[in-house]
Amino acid sequence: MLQDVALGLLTSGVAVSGTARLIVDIAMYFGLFVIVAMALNFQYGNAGIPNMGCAVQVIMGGFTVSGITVRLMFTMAEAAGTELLPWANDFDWVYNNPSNVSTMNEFIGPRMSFGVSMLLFSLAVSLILGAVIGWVIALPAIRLRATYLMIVLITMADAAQIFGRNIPAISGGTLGMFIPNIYEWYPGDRTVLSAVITLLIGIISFFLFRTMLNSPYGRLMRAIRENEVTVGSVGKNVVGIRRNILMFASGITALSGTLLAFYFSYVVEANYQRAFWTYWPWLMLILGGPGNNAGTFLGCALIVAMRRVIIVNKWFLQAVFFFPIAYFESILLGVLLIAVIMFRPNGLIPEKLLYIPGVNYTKMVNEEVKIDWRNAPKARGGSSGIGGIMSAFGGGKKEEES
Amino acid sequence: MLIPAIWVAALVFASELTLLSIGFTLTYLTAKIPNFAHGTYAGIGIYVSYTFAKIFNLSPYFGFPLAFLIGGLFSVIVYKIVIGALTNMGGGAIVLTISTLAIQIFLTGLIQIYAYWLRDRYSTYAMSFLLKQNDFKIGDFPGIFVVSLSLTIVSVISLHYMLTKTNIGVAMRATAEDPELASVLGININQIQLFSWFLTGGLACLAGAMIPLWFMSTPQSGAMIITSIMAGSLLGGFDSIYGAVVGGALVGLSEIMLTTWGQAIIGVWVGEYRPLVPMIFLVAVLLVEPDGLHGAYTKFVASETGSNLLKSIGLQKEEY
Amino acid sequence: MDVDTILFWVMMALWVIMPAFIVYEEITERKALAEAEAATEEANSS
Repeated sequence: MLQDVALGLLTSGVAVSGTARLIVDIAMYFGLFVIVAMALNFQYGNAGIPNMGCAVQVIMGGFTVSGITVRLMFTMAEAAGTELLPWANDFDWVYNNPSNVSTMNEFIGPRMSFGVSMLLFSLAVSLILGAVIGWVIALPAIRLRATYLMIVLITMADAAQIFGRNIPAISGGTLGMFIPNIYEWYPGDRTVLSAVITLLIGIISFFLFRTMLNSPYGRLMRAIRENEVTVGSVGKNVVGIRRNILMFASGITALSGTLLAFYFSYVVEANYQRAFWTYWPWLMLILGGPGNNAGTFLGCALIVAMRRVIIVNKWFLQAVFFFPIAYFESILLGVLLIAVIMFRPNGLIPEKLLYIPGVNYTKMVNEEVKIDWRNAPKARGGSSGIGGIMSAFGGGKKEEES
Repeated sequence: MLIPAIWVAALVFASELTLLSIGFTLTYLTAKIPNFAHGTYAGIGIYVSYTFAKIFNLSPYFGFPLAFLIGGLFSVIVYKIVIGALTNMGGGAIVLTISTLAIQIFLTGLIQIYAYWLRDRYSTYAMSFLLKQNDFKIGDFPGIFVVSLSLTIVSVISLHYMLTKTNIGVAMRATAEDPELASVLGININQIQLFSWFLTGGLACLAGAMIPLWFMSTPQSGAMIITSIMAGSLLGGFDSIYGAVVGGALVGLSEIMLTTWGQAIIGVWVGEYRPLVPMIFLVAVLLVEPDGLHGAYTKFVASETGSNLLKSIGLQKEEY
Repeated sequence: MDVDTILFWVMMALWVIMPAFIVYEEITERKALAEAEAATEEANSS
């Protein structure tokens, strides 16, 4: 695997080993996936937007680092008087990349502020670019029915990979690109540091999402998920709100791509496959239970731990199978997804009624509607539970287009 | 050769894609979900052909009936175990679509394992192959050209006949229009659904069995082709079989011809961007006319100039 | 004490704090919901 090559070449400052290494690895992946899954929960669980294009947004984060930050770093290092091999055209950009990167690592070594500012810069740029790409990929289908949006977003992930593969200026094409180690100033193990930073960003984004969900805007989102025609009829711009939500969550998702690029010190489009960055987060979300953060966290922790433990112990498991264990991954993913959808459609932790301090929501529901929407009798074409939520969004096309 | 090789390739691909698009649209009509696993049925067909050609040392054409049956069987199993059960549980469109994605992932994994097993057991190039040398020739034409075109035309005509003249076809259309009303009229919806899933799976697997006779195939090619299928179906309007015929043929032709012309005019590097062609179709259709050719045709007929034009050439008739 | 060890435990703390907070919040909200429901039922029955 390319990851292994990259880690082998740039293991400068990877000191932690053994079980601690596995824990750091799981923590890092947990941080990355929790950002993606929480953004997904924000979009799908709360606003009912089936964003199948997480991979596009994550790939934008990676491309931001390789295409923009690295160039900025090289320019700044040259301005500071460091000799770099030429990197102006595509060939030099890829060919001289390893030696330039090792020169850059020496440059970053004594300059902590440079490394930190580069990290912050790429996070900011990927936030903006992620939002932009969220707007672009949502453009054709955001106003149409939900299945169209899914189709477009899924294909967009492939499109992003094709561009990454064929334009060496972005991420070195199929060869990939090394990224200067911005944690070079740190004396210890950089993976631990990057895991801490990732988890911190995860916590920050969690509080961001939580604040938004508890605000009136969050209730508006849930209202759109439940019945967008009603929301539209009281004068809210449903398409605009949906687009805003998608853009915001896309920006946050892109952060995890950036963090992954710095963790590996390597960017290649093959690392950002849609199977990995779209389907696994969806499995986490559905397993945990769409619509509440606790479920997302639980699903994320379970899946990431399972995956990493399988990968680390794959040589022991390999003896059991007659085929390469990499194929087992897709079987596992498919079976788990179907099993969760069929046997726990509401996830491990089902969504609760919205609690607003000071407002007795249950009383309102009981008095005004007389029935809980969860237990409502199966309506024509619609359904109860999670299905009802989906069909509210994916239901009639004619209603949505008007 | 009368026709240049590139046109042969384009026509073969277009006819395969037409078959696949018809199946995709049929599934969409009866189950109301885009079936992402549809391309993977084609992947199964690819390996049926491979098994016949390389393991049994027969002509891959003998595998076509078997491919149809196997595809239908897989499709029925998928419907029985997953889609039907989920529909009964009250899963919405998004949940069902995600479950088809999961099936796609699962089936692709199975195909990969089967290909690996073939390679391991028989030491053949099962991971990436081409069966052109197992083909026969009719005059100057390769057999697959004649076979794929005629198979597609025959199946389109028989589908048309079935949907308009036979009881089961009418029942299928009724189920697609309004399942509950159809069931009131005494149509067994479950059987109709099973039949339509069998038909779509079989057609997809049949189309897939033709792919390796002209195109390079890998375990993933089935999953790859789904973008083209969706583009063809969407261009046709997503809920019109006749639209899917036209859409699939157009997308299939343009995917190969546009890439070839682009390579000739702009540069060889355009070839790398071939998978973008169906995506461009998807985006363009959604931006310009989300109902595709079917919607455009309906609008054209409804408009005054359109109906006048149709009347003047004596073609004023209903869509179905 | 090594820098790595400190950071490692910082990481573990972060890793524990976030889910713990979420679980705490989840439990309090569910409790509040249940209480509100009980209050409503009492009001209805009386």
